[in-house]
Amino acid sequence: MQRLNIETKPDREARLIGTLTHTGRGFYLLVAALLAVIAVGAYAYLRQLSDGLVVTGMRHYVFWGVYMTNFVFFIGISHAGTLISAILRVTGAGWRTPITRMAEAITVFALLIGAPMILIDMGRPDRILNVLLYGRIQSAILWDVISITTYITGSLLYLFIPMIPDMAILRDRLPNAARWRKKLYTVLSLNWHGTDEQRHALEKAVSIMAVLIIPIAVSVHTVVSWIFGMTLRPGWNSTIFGPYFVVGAIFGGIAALLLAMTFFRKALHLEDYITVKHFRYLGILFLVMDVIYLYFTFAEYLTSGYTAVNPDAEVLDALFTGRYAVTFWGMILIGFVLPAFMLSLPLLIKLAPQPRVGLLVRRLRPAFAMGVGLLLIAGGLASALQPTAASTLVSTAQFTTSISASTQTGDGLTYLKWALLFTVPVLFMVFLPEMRAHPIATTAVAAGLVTVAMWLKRYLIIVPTLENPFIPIPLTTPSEWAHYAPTGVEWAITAAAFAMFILLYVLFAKIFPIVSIWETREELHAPAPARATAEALATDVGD
Amino acid sequence: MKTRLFFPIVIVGIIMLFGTLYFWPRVDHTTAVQPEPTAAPALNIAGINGAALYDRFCDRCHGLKEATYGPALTSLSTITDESLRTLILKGVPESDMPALAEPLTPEQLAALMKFVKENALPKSAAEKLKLEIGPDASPTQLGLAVVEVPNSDLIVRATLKDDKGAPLVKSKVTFNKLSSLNGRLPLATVDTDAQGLAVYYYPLKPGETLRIEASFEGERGRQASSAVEQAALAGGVEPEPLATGLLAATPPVGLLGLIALVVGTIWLLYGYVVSLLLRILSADVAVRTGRR
Repeated sequence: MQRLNIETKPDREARLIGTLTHTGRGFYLLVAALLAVIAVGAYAYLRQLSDGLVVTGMRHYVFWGVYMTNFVFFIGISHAGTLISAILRVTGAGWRTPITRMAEAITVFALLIGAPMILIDMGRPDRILNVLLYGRIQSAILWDVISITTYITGSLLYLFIPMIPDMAILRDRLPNAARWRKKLYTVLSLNWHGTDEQRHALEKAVSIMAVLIIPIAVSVHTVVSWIFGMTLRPGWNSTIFGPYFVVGAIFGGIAALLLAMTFFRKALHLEDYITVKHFRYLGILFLVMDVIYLYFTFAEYLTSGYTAVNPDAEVLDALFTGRYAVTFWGMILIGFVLPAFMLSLPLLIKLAPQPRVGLLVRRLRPAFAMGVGLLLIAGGLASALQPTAASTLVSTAQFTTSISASTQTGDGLTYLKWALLFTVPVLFMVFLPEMRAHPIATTAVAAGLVTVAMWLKRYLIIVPTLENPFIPIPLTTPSEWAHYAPTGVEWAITAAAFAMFILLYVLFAKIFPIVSIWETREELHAPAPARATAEALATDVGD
Repeated sequence: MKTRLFFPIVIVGIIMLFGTLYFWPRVDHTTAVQPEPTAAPALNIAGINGAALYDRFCDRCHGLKEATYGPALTSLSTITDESLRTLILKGVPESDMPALAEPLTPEQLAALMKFVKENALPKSAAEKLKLEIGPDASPTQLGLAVVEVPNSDLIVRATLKDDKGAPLVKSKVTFNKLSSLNGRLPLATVDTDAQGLAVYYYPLKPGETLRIEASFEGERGRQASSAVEQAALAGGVEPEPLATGLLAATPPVGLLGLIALVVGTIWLLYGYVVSLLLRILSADVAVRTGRR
């Protein structure tokens, strides 16, 4: 038995295996809360099934809403597994081992939640087979069906194969476990005993999958982007959309992975496995993706701004100064720029080990706090003085050319919203010293902000475009038909989707070890096995 | 302890802030404006008769059937109650449409809205016509014929007669072009002559197939009737396909081949990986039996 020959850190491993069988009260509370959210979502979906899509905010102009946003978001999240696991495995980065399983599981569950979002978006889900029966292979929608099916299969294989040795460990190490558990581990271990032949076959399989899954994952999000890019609509018909979406997906995927790492590190006490090092390395990768994504965003809007085609300009107006301005700038500033600063703190520490700026900030804290307070008071006063005068009017635009132009920029509420928006960078300055002291929490907060922002980004790709079609919406169309606002049903289903994702993930972590046992053993030993995998890749794929 | 609490609070705060920003009630949706409960004493200019109110306040700009100064009343056919109420009470800023909140009592507003709704809808126009025709109207017959004349326009002849075969004079016959999905494109409305004949000339192009409908909407004492005829002119150039290249109805072989090659290769490799797993499964059995 080879595996017993390896020197291990028994207590940390025992604790990891213990997380599978020892279940605390927090777990049950979490599961109960998640089930409650799912129940509400299920009720909402039943209502949607019986009453039709009219219970949503979608009408014939804006026919995609938060469901499609969720779809793109979850498919994007699913890239976490690919990038971290496959790319780091191929390049032989030894530090990856404690987080690969987590990443791969995110991929599988995000796909399992994201793909059915299409079904939920359909008014007649019973007609889903027509997509295959009457679909046209030239359509990006059908490519999506093919690529996502392929991706789900591949990522399931890629999650399962590196887990086989762990299944054998659990089969042998948990003799007192429940019967179903023992049976499950026995079946899934594929009678693994770590013989040379098995090891060789496993390494070969892992190497093939690691290489194969990268182009598949890239293709999946490219195809998702093509659903938009190959449609002649303002803001969608763009050549940059393929790489833009792929970068966005990897970016959002790392954010999800960082959140999962933070959660499991705390909840399962995996501090021995997941260390500051992992957050720092992944954080730098995260920062790089953030900057690339900002660059893409800038390039996309600048190009779009120069087209000077009217609907294109209207979409940009809606984003920059119009109806979606606060959301848009909130997303850019709080969701992308602020995390970039937070993530670059570890690098800044290297540049300036003496936190002189931090001291200065700490001394100026009262001034900052007062500034924030004044901003908020001013915003509140502005909104109180100009209550809702401008807000209830039928927009003039209904009788001119475009409906999207309707904004109340002079509205007091808008002032308050902008004031709140600018509070956040100030808060960042105020909490700079704390952020330097807590790199893990800082990275996690940045990841949370990016996760929210990436969801909003997808919403802002879908909805403003649909509200500004090339053929103008007839002047007399009721505003409720021309504009989109999600209804309670849609929010309930969206919340249920997120709850379902978390539930699947948490249950997975209860049945399977969320950190790879055999790979982290090897990591302890020496960085050699990681290199061996890379070498195996070079030799094995060839034969 | 202090720092432990500190960060969660910051996280929750930022999330709440972000959420508040996003879920702030949308202000530019048309929302219902309820008339104030203590409305100004009614000037009682026109009672609560919707038609009279419309005549007094609206008709000058929005003639009943067609626009005189502002948009036509019929353009409001799909407006919701809320939007209509807002429109009447608040007017349209930066335009000549005034707010009518002041002179109207809630009852008057309701009457005016009812009148607008009834008269703006095309559906109610059809219903009005039905009322005008009357329940015991006699049926009419509409005959339709197309005559092809070489090197000239297609002649479409509609003959309108009553149930006894007498021609109907000075009645309106509408010619519609029917789309393949039975959509109607109105071409012209022509009055019948002394023989009950309405003629329309259609410039039929070579290669074109036309489905044309003549319809009589009915009038006092006469029921509606219609007829459909078809004409096609041979020759001419083939109509261009709607889409070419990648968007053609039949998929290009190259694209199919490419997809089959890429997807096929991936699934073949999956198959190979599964065979490797089977090798793990079977290899182990051999070792164990060897041990025994």
